Amino acid sequence: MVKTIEEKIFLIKSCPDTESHIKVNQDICTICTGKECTKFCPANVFAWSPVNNKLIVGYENCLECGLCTVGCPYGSIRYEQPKGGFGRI
Amino acid sequence: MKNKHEVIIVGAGPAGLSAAKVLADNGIKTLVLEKTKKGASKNFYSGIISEEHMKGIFTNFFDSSGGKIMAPFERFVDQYRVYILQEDSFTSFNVQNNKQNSYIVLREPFNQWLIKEVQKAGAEVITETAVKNLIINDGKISGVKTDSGEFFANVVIIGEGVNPVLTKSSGLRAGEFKSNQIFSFVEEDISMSAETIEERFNLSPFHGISAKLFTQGIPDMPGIGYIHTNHNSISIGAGMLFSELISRNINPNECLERLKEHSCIKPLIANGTTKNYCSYMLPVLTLKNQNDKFLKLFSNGCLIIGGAALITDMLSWDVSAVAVLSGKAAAQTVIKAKELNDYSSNTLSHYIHLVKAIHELPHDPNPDMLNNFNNAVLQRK
Ligand code: SF4
Ligand code: SF4
Repeated sequence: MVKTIEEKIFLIKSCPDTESHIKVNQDICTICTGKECTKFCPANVFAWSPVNNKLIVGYENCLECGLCTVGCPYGSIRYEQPKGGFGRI
Repeated sequence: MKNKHEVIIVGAGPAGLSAAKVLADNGIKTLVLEKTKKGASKNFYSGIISEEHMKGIFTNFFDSSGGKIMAPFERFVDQYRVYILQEDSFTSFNVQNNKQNSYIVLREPFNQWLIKEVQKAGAEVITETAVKNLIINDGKISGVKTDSGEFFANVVIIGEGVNPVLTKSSGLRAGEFKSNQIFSFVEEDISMSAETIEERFNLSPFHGISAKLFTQGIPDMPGIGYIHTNHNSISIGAGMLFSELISRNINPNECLERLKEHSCIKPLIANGTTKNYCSYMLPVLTLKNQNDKFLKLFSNGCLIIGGAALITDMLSWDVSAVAVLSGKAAAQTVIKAKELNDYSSNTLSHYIHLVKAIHELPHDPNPDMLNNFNNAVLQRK
């Protein structure tokens, strides 16, 4: 039976835009110690890249639940509604 | 003025569509704008609908003889079941529901049926159109800006659900929830044959179960869950207070996977095939216990309904009932405002009285016994 987030996201219908509807403030993310978003997002949208010293935002997988706007302790995430017909459809 | 309606409704979920139906039935020129293709079905997969409030608004819920249900549903709710899970044991009890007055529905087809009914009543529904901003003229909300143009109306009703981007960006809600004010949920839909479901849950054909799971007893998984038996799939959801989830470093999906592995649940879903996954938040902070400064339910030319208005009831069985009632309340408020030809916040404030009464109403199909149980569990938390 399917268990991981990646397997589950694969099952979902969505139509990603070419532009991200989630923007983060990289200056804040760089100094954020907990990187909570990389753990609580149910779609694993956020990943910290130590090589680039940057938070990678895989917005294409987003489930549009809005949890990240609540869960980021520093208000670094700006979440916008995907354009009509894009995202979860 | 181009693109002028009497009322614009943002969001084609149960709240918005209920408002639209009541308005259209009263001859009010109504436009519903929806971001997705098929109407709000992205966050939950299945749910319980009780006929009590639905049938008054959607009069084609039953056929003209009043006997046969016309709305698409999966199974009658034959039993409400409560599971209390301990680490390696569980207790459960059933409340038989012989009234056949509530239904398990899949959101997507059910929502599409609601949209058709709203259109038949005369409202216009435009999908794949996201509202970006409110248009404000002389301190009055007079329309919306979308990614495909502007639309104007006397009143804008916001029914955008529990992740209310517009409500926040337009300042009607002051800021963000705290993580201890919401539960995070994920839901999965697992397909298997109707016969397997009926055998595992001991059901007759077309009969189903709506179950709530309480898992506070398990050290690593304090939270709640639910199961709905659809026709040939099972929807299972798990939720946890978001602040607890964060402090324990767990992912909402892990929460669900732990539930799926529990000795009580595992045999019920064995050999099924997962076909859908979704996520949503539900506020613990609701209209009942919010501070009035956090959210304005109305302003000049605007009303907020459903999840966006914190009109939710996490522990009820039919979670959309309060949303439906708030949509109806907003429609009634607008009808009155039209009579007075005054859409200012002064007239629209009437909505507050209607909405406050919703929580006092018996809006849930579940028997008192389960309500008492819910209350007991909540108090223990
Ligand atoms: S988005 Fe928030 S939680 Fe995630 S790395 Fe940036 S500051 Fe930290
Ligand atoms: S909205 Fe939900 S799924 Fe999307 S990035 Fe935020 S937490 Fe992840």
